[in-house]
Amino acid sequence: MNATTIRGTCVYDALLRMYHFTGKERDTESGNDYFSARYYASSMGRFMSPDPLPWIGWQSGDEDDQKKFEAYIANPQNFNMYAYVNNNPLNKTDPTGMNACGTNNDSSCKVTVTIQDRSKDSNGHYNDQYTGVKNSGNYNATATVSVNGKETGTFLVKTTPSDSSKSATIANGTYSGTLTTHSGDVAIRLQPTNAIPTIGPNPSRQDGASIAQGILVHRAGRENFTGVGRDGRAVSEGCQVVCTSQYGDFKHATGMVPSAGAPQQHFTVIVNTQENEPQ
Amino acid sequence: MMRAHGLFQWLIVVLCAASSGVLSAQEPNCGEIVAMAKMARAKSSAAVAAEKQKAGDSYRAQVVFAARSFELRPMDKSAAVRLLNLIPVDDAQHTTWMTLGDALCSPESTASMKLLGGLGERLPHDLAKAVLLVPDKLPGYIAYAPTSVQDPHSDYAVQMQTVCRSKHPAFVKAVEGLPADKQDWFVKHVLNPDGCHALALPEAE
Repeated sequence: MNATTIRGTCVYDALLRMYHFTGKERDTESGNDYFSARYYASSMGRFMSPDPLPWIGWQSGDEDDQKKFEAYIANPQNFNMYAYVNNNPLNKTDPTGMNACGTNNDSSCKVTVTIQDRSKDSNGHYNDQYTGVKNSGNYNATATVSVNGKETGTFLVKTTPSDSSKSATIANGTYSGTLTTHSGDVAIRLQPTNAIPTIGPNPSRQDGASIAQGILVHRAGRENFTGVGRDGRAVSEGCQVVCTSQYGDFKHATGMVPSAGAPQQHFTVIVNTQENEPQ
Repeated sequence: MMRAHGLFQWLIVVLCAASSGVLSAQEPNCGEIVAMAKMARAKSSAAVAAEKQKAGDSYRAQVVFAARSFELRPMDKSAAVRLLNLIPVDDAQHTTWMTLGDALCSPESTASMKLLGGLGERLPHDLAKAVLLVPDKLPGYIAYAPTSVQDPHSDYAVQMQTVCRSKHPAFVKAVEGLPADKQDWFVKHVLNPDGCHALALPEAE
């Protein structure tokens, strides 16, 4: 029996889609695996199009861009722009098709999470590609993950506490991050553990100091919820919470969950949003 | 000019190597971390004691040893006292409690981190059970509460509700023993002893 006659075209499409190489969806017409940025031809073991990174443009960019360019051209494997993870699939994964970083806690691997404001239209409404995500309005920012300068994904983030009368908002800044665990899952702890600067006095501290502790980047609540539940518990008391439905991809993009070897343990987290701007 | 440039690069390499040596000297011993994770999942007191030999005598190792020992023998007063004696008294010790589940050596498996992180998340529950066995330790137990709940993930105040209800007179007396300003903060922001109602709630999961 044809699935279309039972539940319609969407279900039919879903039934025909099969997950293949590293869990990516396979295009039923071409037989290729879909990555966010490009298709991977499983039959040939390579991508069907060159790596779309604007690496050539780095050469004429600012100082950081030029450093990225020098690092990029220093690796001959990068000149095979159709290769998968520099032809080292046993130790590396590429969740989006743009990440060629080792995942075995590679010390040369620089994983950066840059949190910044979402774009809005003239009426103050979010107008980015995430508006279709359930409860996306709860999130004021996006976290762009890059590995050695290559973007591996962008995810919705809420940077402010669920109840600002009880918890403080951390201040913009560049923080080091350490892999940690949170309710049986992995997360990133911002450092320094005990003294993350906050905007104004922290209401959870008796001394009224403008610092917070125990701040993590972790997943939000069920169904992407970010507020205060009926039991009075807040999803965030100042932590940077990543959209729940995107958190699995976030973990892969950062290397917190590798396909082989040990996870990435060290990160740089840059917070730069209007809501986190000190008054 | 070229030679000077080469020497400069060489100097950078030497400095980097020296600084990485300093950093690695400060990092926890991976063998000890592995032994701590084994303690955290040990199923017997003997197994915990065996791993303790390899885990060293750091404050972190002592906390893991005391917590797991008490979990395996929850009616053992001496195990309860050992754990209660390790309640943090300064920032460094408090940080250790908060970071039990952090990556501390490279490479450390996620499984090890989750074992130690799980133990860390159970500490407030373990402490509540321990202080019920040894109510004499209530003052120290209560004094740490305002610090503990500054960690958004600590359910110290929630676990304290059980102690408050079970040992109410002693609990109230211990709260009244706090300095006046701390007592006021405690009853308004941490836990209200009248109804044994936790005010400092952990983040939702």
